[in-house]
Amino acid sequence: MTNSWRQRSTIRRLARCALLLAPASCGGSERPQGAAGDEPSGPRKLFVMRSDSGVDFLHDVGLSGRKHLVEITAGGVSLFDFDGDGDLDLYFTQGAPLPGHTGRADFRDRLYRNDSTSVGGLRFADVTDAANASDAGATLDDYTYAAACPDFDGDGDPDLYLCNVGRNRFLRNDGGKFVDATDAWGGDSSLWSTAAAFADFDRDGDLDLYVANYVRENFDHPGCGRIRLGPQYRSYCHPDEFPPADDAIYRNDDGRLVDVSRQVGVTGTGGSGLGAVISDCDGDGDVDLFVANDSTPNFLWRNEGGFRFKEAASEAYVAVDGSGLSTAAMGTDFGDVDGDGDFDLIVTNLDMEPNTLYRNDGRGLFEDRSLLSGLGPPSLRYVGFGCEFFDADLDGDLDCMVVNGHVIDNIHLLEPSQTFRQPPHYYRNDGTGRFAEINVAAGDYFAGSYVGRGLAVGDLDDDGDLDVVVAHWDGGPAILENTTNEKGRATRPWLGLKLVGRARNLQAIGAFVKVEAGGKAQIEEVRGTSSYCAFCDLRLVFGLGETRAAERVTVRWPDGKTTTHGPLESGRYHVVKEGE
Amino acid sequence: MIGDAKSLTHRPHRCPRPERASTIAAMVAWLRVVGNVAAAAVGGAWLPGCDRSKPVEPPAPVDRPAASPAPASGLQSEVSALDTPLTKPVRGDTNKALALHQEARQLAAAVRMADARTVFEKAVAADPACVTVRIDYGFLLLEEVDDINFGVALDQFRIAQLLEPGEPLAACGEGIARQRVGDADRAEPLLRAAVASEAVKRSPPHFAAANAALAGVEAIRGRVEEALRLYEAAANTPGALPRTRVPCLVRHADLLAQTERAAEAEAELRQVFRLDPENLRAHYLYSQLLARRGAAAEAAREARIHEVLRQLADHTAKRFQLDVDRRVRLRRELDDLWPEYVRGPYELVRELLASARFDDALVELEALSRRDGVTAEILWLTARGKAGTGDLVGAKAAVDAMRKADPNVPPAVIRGVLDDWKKGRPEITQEQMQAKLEEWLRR
Repeated sequence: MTNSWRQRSTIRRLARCALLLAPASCGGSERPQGAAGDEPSGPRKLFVMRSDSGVDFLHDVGLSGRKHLVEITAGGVSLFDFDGDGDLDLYFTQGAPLPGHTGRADFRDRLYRNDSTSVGGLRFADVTDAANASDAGATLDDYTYAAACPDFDGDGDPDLYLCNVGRNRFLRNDGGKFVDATDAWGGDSSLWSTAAAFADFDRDGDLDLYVANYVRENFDHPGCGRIRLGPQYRSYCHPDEFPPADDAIYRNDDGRLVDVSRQVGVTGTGGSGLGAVISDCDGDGDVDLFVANDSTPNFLWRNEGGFRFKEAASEAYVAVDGSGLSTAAMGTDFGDVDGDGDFDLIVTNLDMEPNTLYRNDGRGLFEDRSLLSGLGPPSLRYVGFGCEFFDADLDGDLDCMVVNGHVIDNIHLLEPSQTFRQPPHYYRNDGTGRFAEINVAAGDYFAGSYVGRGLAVGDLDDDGDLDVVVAHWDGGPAILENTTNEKGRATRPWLGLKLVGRARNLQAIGAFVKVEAGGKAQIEEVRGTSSYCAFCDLRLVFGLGETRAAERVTVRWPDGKTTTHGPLESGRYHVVKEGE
Repeated sequence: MIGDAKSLTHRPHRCPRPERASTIAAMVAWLRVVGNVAAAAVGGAWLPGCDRSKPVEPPAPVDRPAASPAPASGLQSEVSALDTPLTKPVRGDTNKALALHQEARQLAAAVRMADARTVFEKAVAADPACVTVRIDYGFLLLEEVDDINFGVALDQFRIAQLLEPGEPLAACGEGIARQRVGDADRAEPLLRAAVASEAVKRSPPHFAAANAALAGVEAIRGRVEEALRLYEAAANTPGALPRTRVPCLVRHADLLAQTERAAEAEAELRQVFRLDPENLRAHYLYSQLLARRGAAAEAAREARIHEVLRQLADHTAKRFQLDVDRRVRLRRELDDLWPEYVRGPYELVRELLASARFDDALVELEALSRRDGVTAEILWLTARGKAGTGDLVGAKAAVDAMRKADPNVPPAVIRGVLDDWKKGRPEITQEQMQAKLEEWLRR
């Protein structure tokens, strides 16, 4: 089959480059255009898109022209401090050439070192080769969807776990250089993996692993869509065309991940997993895990201690949405959006299936509040992927950002009210758990349309507000700098916490934090993996409203021990070490 | 089918089922009701022909800028049907369009929605400037929920208004379509005008649908009390059928539940179960309400009922449709879980007949006869089962008994028996079927 899809795209790229005189070269895919380091004109918006950051990554899904399902949902980004210099570096996942692909040959994932501190402004440098931070990018085995960044060996630097369409890889970080440790560490699921959630599920001091797998795609599938109407109607298949790929769970036995999926009951559950996030959502002190499944009921693995889990999504009312039907769930995150002291849950879905907000009643029972919360209705026409709850404006409640982009590139032929590229959404919380979509008021980025996939949140410039990196399908990413705070001149009081755990969970993944300030309590957890194909800043940032200090901070560490701290002054990160 | 877009996705199971009848007479009435709903949906007011449309403009294609599958970029947005500028189409062969229109309406009345859609497409092609065809086609697309077609429906209503500005049903349709794709801002004024329009009020399906869509907008705006009032009004529209009422009642119950009026919500849901026993959303919500008030055992049972029904109808059901054993197993489990659901065994028989398990269906029917007596419906199902096994003598006897019980059984119902005879017997021709039908219809 000729790659006409691709040829058309290339022509469009060239034309656009010529018209816009874009500073980037015309040789590759497009990237969103933003401010070139200068302050935007007009009133200051919450986010400014930075196109002068030095990130020249272009996502390439390795199009074959045959519309393999693996092509259409890819695009991941991770934030982690690989070199231990205190700031967040960026890792972008890359595709691989699919059968029939003709085009670029270099499909390696990309690592960008954060040079912002030394150079000024948000600046990054590609250090992939120097850090040996990618797999080969040559085959389906190297087709990477997501990267998780746990300090698996507890040596103080974060390692890289790559979720691939083929065999997953574990890269050990040796002081800023990566070495393939897959054989030694295990966890090498060979199914199509989309999310890896690390946590100390059995509280033995080291990190275990849950891998969400998607489907077993048959690459010889004749194709889907209304092909009888013409080749232009060929479209990507619904995942129901393929059997679900079982998820996998691994127990860390003395530094090696042992597959215990069968014993735990994960095998044979039949979910098509795309997103995963940990949380103690039932408030019993241990880490549970939610998996967003595409068109099959979601999973909620309730931790029952001793590495035993109960799949409790149905009884918690998060298996399906309020209509009683499974949704095409993609991204997911937990957050206490209504400030009632428990973690609520968002799931992003296909068009005509609005974002689902599951409100937690405090007992681990949820109800669909998508409509009245305001998070559902604006999303009705859009296909949601990456999503995060975070307090972008530091006003003391969790806002929400969702990036959208259809999964059928020729959707306009099938449903004219739909588009492939879609606008991202930013929802501001009024403090009660009711959201209003403010979009362009949040930044010029929100006025555009993209094929959004991964979305990661973190403080890239260490100024105390949370920036965003969005991975776009088959194009360049967007780096959105949060303008709430300016370095050295905080405009909103904030409190930053970096937790340091013990044993082999130095990152304290799974820790629970409660911050009390000005008569208000906020809760958060250290999670890492959330959203869609993303790994976020492990530091926690709390907006304190008008309060200048947190009176008390309570940490429940992954091993169950609790410590209290404070008062802690606002305007900086505090390192809180377990046992100190 | 009315309500917010969530209930009108392309998945057929999202369409609530009409109330099941327990006798053949009721069943036949039900078939007629479904037909009426479909007919109403494609133009309840039975509008006049194309001649009312306004004069012809210079030729211009109805087209929109092609969306490109270009890579990610915020630099250029694609244009959706919500915003595409449209141009007035030219007059075509009106007589041909009207003839096709009639044919399409008959197909819709026979609940052959996909066929009706195809004929409507031909009618639009024959005369793109026929307002009646556009409006009826638009409502069919809103009603036919097994495909993604809100954008196409929206086009029809918008073009109809280009041709005839102020056309109330076209504006009503546009409002409903916009509400269902989440364009509440532009839907709201259209819907407010629709519910105030005398032309819309004269057509109960459209009036109820407009009220329900407006209720959806009010809910989005957070005006819960107004949304509740409008859902109630939609559900109680004089002449509204269960198919129209049920989604309104369920959404009404859902909003009641979300505003801490659980007892009222439960009562509403029990009403839904009488109208539509297998309503997934209602069972799910009912289970949650039970769980919330601490009735754990009842909640668990209700959750399992929901789960069985979901497995019979949800996405994954596509993969399992051919797994008859699984579906039958689920149906039997449902009967065990929910013995009060007297229609459950009938649904099992339908599953068996649909999958050509005629012997098994006949066994179930014997048990049903012992429980319910020999009703006209059981005779009809028995005739289908016997025809499926090849026992035409037995089938004919059952048909005769059925016709004795209800002399008004339409030929289409008897034809359905012969359809089962043909299952798995490709050698039977249409002519043989017709001959057999005529033979059976002779007294």
